[in-house]
Amino acid sequence: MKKLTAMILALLMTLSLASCSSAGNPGNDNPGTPTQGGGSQQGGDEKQDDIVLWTLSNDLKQFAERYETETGNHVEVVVFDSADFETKIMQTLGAKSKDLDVFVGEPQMLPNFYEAGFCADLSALDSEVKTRLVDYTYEAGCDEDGVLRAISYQACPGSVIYRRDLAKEVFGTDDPDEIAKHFSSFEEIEKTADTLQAKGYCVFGDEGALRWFSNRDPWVKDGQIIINQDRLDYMDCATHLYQNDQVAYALEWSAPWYASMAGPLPKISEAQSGDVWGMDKDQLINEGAAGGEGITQVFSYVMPSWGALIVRDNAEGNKGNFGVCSGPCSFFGGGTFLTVNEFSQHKQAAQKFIEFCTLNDETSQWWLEASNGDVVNNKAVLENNKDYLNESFGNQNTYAFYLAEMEKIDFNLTGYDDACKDAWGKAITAVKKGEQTKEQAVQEFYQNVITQFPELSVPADSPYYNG
Amino acid sequence: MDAKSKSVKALLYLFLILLSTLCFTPFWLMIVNATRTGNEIMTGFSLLPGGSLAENWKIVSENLNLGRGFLNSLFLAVCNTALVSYFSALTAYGLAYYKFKGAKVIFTALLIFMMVPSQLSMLGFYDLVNQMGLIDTYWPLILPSIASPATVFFLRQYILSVMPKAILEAPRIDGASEFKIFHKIVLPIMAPGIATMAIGAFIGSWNNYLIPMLIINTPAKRPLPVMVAELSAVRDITTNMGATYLVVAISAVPIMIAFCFFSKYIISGISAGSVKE
Amino acid sequence: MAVPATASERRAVKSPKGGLERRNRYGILFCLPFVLAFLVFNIYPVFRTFQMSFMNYKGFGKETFVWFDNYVRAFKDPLFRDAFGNTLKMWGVNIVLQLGLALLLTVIFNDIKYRMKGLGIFRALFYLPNLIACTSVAFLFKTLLDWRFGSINQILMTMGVISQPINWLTGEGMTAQLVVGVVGAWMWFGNSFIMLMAGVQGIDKSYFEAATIDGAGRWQIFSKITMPLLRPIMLYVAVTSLIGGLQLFDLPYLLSGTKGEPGRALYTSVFYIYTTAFTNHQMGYAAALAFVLFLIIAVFCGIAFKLMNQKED
Repeated sequence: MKKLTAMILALLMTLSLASCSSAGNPGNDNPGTPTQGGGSQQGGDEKQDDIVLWTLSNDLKQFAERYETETGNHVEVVVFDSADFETKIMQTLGAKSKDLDVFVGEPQMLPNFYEAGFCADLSALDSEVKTRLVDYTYEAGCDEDGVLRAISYQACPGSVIYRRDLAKEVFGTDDPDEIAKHFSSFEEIEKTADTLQAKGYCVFGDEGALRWFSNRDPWVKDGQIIINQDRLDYMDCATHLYQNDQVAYALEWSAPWYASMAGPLPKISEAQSGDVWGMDKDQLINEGAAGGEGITQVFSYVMPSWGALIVRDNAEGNKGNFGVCSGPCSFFGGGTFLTVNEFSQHKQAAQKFIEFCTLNDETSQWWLEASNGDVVNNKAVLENNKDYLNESFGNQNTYAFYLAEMEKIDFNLTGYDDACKDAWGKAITAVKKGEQTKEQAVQEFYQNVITQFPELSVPADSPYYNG
Repeated sequence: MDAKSKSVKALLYLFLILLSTLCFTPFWLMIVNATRTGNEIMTGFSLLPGGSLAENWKIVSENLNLGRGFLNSLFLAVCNTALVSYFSALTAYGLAYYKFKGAKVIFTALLIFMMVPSQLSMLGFYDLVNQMGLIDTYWPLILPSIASPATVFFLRQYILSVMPKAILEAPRIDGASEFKIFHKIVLPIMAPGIATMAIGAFIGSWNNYLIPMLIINTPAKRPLPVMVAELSAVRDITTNMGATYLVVAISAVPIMIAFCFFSKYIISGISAGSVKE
Repeated sequence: MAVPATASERRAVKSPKGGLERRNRYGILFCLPFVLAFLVFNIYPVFRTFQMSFMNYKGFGKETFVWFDNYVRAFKDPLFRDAFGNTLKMWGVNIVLQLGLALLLTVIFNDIKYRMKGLGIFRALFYLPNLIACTSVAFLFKTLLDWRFGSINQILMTMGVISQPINWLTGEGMTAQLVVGVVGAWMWFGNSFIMLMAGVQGIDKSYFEAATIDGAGRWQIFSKITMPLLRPIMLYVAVTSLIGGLQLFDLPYLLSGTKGEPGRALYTSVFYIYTTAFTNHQMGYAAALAFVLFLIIAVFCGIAFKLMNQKED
């Protein structure tokens, strides 16, 4: 036993020595020191302006290629799966890695990255970004103290994407401003759903579409959970649509959802048994085209700008038959932001690349065309394309619409959003299915959120709150 | 055999075949999906192969260096399997057949550490690897295999139930060294047990995603599962779903081979396992 | 914790002293590589997590020492309690099916009278579900179990077993938990079967033959010979599946589309810990939860060991 104990002790000492010496490293580390271990930096002929970029989609590979042909500087693009990207960045940069120079983040990840001190100060570009790019993307790029740390090349404003032919039939017009009136509030949406139902149509594929309109107010403000009339209206509206059978039960990303974009489809409610189960997209479209009992059409979809492209690409015969208009509130969804690694040894080169991607009008114009429909956040470029008539959307001036929509977006993301939205979604499900009363569901919501975040509180005047 | 026994036997076979079908179906679906487009997979389901194999293969070969990922994964899996097998057997034998102080401590410690939820020790693990300066190398993906508590536990239980101590007496009298006894006598007796665990080790290493994803930074060093994830990282998942299944299906082939190899070993191990005196 | 001692071990103590002492040093030598790697790669990370459990730490930025705050919160956390309850339910379904099926198959393949053929091929087929990564399994089952479009409802309805489609994964919480248990059993029974077979293969076949000649019935052979001789392996299978079961995560995480739905029914303990650590960014609290879970598992294992050892004496 003595020997074993001695051995363990010796080992522990070695270990602690090892950890001491490596922990001491960052202290005496001068700018010229080569990276430890020789890791991933490849070879000696590396140029000063070559950088490494970590991202979660292929888009930036195209930017990097263009950058290389224009400047001769190589950008090595490393793509990661989005599900674990945040964890990967947290671990890697938590260890102050110098292996990467630029990395991306989505809006909801950014506050954590800022707080952790991973993002270098980009305030040299502040005035440029502030004046030339869409406002909400500037706000998302600033940390709590208003220091610019991330810049995006795109914007993802949301919209209601509606069927023009059905609009004409039901409302007598397909003008986006007119249709927007039918989506101006949750109450209006309920009325619109009633009207559409009388004609045999469904307002949405699934009431989950409403969730995009739930961010008019922040979820948490000054440490308090915000549940107000607006959120209750959202709950009521979802319940109304579900209980009155006004949606097509075509869940996002499911076969009937895709099928609905192309035309009529059989309505598959929980009450209906029968032969439509197990049909794939094409079968559903055929079944819908045959007409008859239980056939319906989906009037609209609520999605960010990239979602409009999904509708466009699955519209088949309906292509050009869609329009975009605004809903009860403006919103955005997703978006890729570029930021410089605080520990990078090529900060200048990294910043130059970000500048090229985000603040270069030519790049923005190029991307607008190359991406086949992505919306950029460069205001001048959007202005230039204002008169572009988008064939896929009934010759609407989509860029003009998106530009106007983006200006209205109120950036109010908090670190609690994911948890709050998740819990609120569960409360709505319980209410619409009749499992819980509104009061029970809302109370359980408060309880769930506070259990997960004891630092939060519920304002005393919140609905259904009893201490 | 009487008629009743025969029909019982037939029923048993039927049951086994049904169960096998249940186990094989998802595997088959995976292969089928590798031949369909992303859109087809997302919008429906089929038992018959589609016609998009070539298309999927094109996406895969254009985006991934599959050969490289294969070699990386194979290297890791072989190293891990070898280390797990050898060192776990050695430790299990040491714990089971030698009386030394500390044996109980080690055994208890490994039992306790089997119970620690692995998801959370991951954080400390990264910290450690970073302090050792081993980020972006294969060492942290291989070395921990030397200490595989669950395997040691299994092999200890196994060897205690199959190997009588008396077997060691003859060679000891002949003056064989303890190491030689282990290599020449104990290891072959443990073979079925080792093979059983080796399969698990190989598959575990081959399918391991989270730790390599966190540790490896250089794309060329990525093993297959991390590469596959890169494929699904491209925004429009529908165009890549079929290709993803194709990679998954291809990457299952070495596992099948490894499995066949080890399972043969288990079968041939029967005679070695049942030692008669 | 009691370590099951065997007759051979007890005998060893009585052997002549000198040779034994010297030889037993090899025991230490044989265990040394394991012990070293174990200390570095298992104990150190867990020690680090333990340290974290006393901190207010987001996983980045500052760490502040908060004494036992995280543990106090953990013991009062109703969501964690619910999640643990869910885990027990899913694991319960899983273990009964998984071990039951594995034992049944072991008995079938070792029956002296029927002498079933094709063990190799069947074993390979039963093991197939283990070969596919959990992500693919979950994706396939989500597709198969979709209540509107899934083939399983389609088949059941065509066969007339059910008249209404069953909402497997998005309806009642209980149904979804049952599904997770069954899918888990499907995934892992082949593995348990292989373990048990490996154990049985170690048993001298002459025992069975002798018993059969003596006229022992099938049940007698199973309960008097197979089971007792299988005990060490059974203990292994039981303990590992207990440990694995209480750490259930991947399957419910993926089957519920990472949200734990319906309601919170598919949240397991580790799922909740994972969400706390990586979605809510409360690393310190998650570490404390992990240790509470570890304590619970340890208690369960202690009970399992006691039960298994009692039978032996």
